[in-house]
Amino acid sequence: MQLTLLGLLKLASKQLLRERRTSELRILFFALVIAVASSSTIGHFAERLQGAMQLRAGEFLAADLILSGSEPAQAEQLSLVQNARLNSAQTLQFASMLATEDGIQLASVKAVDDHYPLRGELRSSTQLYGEELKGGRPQPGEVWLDTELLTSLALQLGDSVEIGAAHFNVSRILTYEPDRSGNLLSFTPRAMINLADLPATDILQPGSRVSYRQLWSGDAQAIDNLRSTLEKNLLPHQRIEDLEDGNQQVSSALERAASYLNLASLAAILLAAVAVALSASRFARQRFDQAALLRCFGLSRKHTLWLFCLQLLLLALLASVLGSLIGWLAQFALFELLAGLLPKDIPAGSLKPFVTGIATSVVMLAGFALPPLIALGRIAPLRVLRRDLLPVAPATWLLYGSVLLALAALMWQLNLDIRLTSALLVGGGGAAVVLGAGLFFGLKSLRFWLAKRSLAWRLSLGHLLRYPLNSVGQIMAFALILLSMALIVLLRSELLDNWQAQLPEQAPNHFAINILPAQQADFSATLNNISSNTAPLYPVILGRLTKINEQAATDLIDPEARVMRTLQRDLNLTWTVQLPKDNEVVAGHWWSSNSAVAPSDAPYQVSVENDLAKELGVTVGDRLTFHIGGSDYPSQIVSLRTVDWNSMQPNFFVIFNPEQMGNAAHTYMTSFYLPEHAEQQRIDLAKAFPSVSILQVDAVLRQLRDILAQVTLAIELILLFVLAAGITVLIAGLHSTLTERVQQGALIRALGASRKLLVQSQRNEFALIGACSGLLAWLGCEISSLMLYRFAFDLAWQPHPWLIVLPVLGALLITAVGMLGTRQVLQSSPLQILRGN
Amino acid sequence: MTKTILSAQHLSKKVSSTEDQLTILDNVSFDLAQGDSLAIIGRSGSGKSTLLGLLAGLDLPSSGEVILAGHNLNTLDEDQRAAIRAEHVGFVFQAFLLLDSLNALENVMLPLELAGHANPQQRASELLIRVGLEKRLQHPVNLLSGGEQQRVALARAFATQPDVLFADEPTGNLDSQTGESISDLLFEMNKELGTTLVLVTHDEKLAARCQQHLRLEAGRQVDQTCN
Repeated sequence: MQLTLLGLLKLASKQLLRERRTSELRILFFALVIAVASSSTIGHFAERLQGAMQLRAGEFLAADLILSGSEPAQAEQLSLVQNARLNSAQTLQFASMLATEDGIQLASVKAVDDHYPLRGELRSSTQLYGEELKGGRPQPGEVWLDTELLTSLALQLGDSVEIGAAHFNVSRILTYEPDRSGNLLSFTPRAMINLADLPATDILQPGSRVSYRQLWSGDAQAIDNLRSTLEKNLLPHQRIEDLEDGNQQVSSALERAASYLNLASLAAILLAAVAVALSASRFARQRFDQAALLRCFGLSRKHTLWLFCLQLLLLALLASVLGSLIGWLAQFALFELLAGLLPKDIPAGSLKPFVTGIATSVVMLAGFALPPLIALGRIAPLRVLRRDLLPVAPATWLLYGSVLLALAALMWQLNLDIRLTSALLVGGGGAAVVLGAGLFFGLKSLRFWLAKRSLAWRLSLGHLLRYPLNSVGQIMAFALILLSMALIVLLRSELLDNWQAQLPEQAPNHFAINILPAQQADFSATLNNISSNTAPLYPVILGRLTKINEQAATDLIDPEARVMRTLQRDLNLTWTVQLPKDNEVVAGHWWSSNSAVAPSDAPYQVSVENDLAKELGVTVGDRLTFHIGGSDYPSQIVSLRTVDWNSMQPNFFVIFNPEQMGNAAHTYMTSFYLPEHAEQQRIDLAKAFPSVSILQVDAVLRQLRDILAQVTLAIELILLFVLAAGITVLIAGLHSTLTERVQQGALIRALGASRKLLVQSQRNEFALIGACSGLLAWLGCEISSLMLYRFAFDLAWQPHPWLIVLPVLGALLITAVGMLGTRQVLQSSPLQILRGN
Repeated sequence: MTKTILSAQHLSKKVSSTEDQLTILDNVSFDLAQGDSLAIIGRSGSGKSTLLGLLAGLDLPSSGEVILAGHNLNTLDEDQRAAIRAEHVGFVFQAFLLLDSLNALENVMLPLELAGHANPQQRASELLIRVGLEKRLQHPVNLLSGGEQQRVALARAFATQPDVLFADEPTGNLDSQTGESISDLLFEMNKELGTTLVLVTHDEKLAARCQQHLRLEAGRQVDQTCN
């Protein structure tokens, strides 16, 4: 009999339609819909949320992408992007003296065009410490100055100031500049002018030190393309800045959120995969007779297999369409719910989650449903005469190979860290074999215990022990479900705790710099009166690293290396007796206050930040030379430190031993917390210490907290999906054993067992399965969380004793779902069941 | 001279167990002409169903050969034998083997659809009407009585107008009255359609309606008679 593919497809669709009411097809369909719906909801949601968060994060950069360099971007480079539909802006920054009739002051001048900023907005005020106005930028002929410049030059709004050869009218006080947040401690005060006025200043001459920045914003894909095009055409003096550079805290929050969302996707997909495997296995078992009949009717082995595969493929496509639709509607509902929290202009999602949703269901079907289906192609036609003939089981390599391939494809699609996920899977697989073997022998040993138990226990355990391997498989599948759900709950609470701990309620939200030594005591006393959280006052001195082990530092470092920028600018250096809070010595030793005074010709002892040391290729014992205030300071590294850059405390790359630095000319800096409503106190502080620059970092903190709130909500909502998927899988899993249960129950009832005995034996069996699953899930959860914390989330791991609830929870959950799913056993007439109806 | 449609020559079937070799069927031979009927009779375990399986090409003998519709089944692989079954063979089973997920009409339509029949629904309806189930076309098969289920199975078996119909204890699961009406129907349709019938049974009364008898005892052919 030769059926064409089209003929088979027609027949498969007819069969599918005819069998639409069979429970195994419905469960399989439902499992696939859940998988596609949850993965595509997460896909859509994560994609749009990522877009929304990047939009926020872009505000720290005033753009999505920046090309900076010491010369203007070349015409060829700009022509590369002319066709792209992107917004662009340009800024220039250079140091220059501002002059009035009464004085001069060094300022960092920024010239901006009429499109700047592309993300976020400038804030300014029209009177000192007055109300903030949002938006706008200096118009030609105007200059916006920050408070420090205004104070030090004793200027009023409306006054005139000279920059180079041009005169400017001081029109606003600049209070906030979005792309300055990432570089909070740029000490030189800011003057902002319009780019159109730049030629008139006559400042820029060949060789002038200028930082040119070309800004772009727009569609994420176009930005990605632009980045890769620019990377290929980058000149030695140029560098690309993106969100990663915009703000370390924002990008680390985004990174973790993305890791978590992907992990949640994997959990939801894995759960659905278990459901697919279970229901496909039932689908295949229920069709052994059908396959034998078809073979008897003359259908070839290959066509028999194709017929069933096509049925499932059609089912998968239907489920994908429905699942994708549900996913798409669900993410709309989610965004409606979050409307108040999210920015108004969330970028529209792409079609990618639809495609990946469909691909996910097909890959899942191929990986998890194909192995049981293969049995249908191997069924002996003789089964029509001898019902005991079962198909040859597919080769083990095929079973595990297809599952591993499917997992690898899913992980690739989710963009997960292959090394980490493989470690998790291999570790998980190894643990599963060990735990499964333990469980198998544990179940077998129950036989001895069984002999003395009540009939209800003997019946329930008898069912489990009849096919111990199957029981182990079932328990492990439930364990995987409980493990996934527990792990997602665990990560959710601990990740959030950890993030919130990084941003405590009263984290410092102001930095004060340029505090003169004479003001130190007064300033400190004033701060203690108005602030509940103040960092110590650190001496600050500017210095440049010139030599490493007596060789010119710039000769040793690759000119294109990122660290080269550190060598080309002055660093903020400090000295302190106490190791600053949130710093940790990882090599060498910290100097103690009572150590012997070093001889005057000994090198200065320094402690260097660990990452910087790595980039410079130096370690404890190496010698560095700093050029500070016209003199060289030969130094030796005595310790390396890690620094928490998220701590909102003054942090330093290099710290000197205070014993040797006491006399160097310096100023002080600190950070402190002021509540949002304490505006007047801030103004009073600024008036009392006019030479001190007070920088507000409220905006950074507020944005970080907003992002955190969005991530938290997303995580909580996605957790619900994972839980829903888990419960559905649980039902599917129990349903896959329903036929046997119904038959056994009917037989027992036909033999005269009471309903009560049947209920009791089922309850015992489900409770035992649940408790064993919970126990395995507990162990698995601890092992997986240990690996994830260490390798993915960089968190400290501690045992979670509360996970002991898992066996109890497993017993309760599986008993409840099991009793509900198998109530048919108790409700149907035993006679009817034994007759096969 | 009538053409031989089914021929068995020195058929044996042996299976190996862990301890020794078990002979299930030993040196069975016969020829069956087109349109004839053969009853294979014997006690439980005498090898009747094994012989049926070999004759229908569902299994291969350890030695000997089966020629079905001119094809030596021993020389064919499983898929080639399946193609022979599709073209020449129909089946009726003791346990009916209807598909629960399909209704009566769909069960009969299935082999027609597999054979690419032009109008499977019409042909299946005609056959179900012929077996007296005109009011049961859309019924789920698990709601039909045993006799009705076997009628559906008969309609399905004759649907593709096979040359040879193999029936394995077709009345074995039915009471005597229902069994009798099913066997009446089987022989009537066999005659109407000119099908060759190979029947496995331990019911002597049913066997008596066949033209030839082949008696098996412990796998050996002990008697072959013609009416």
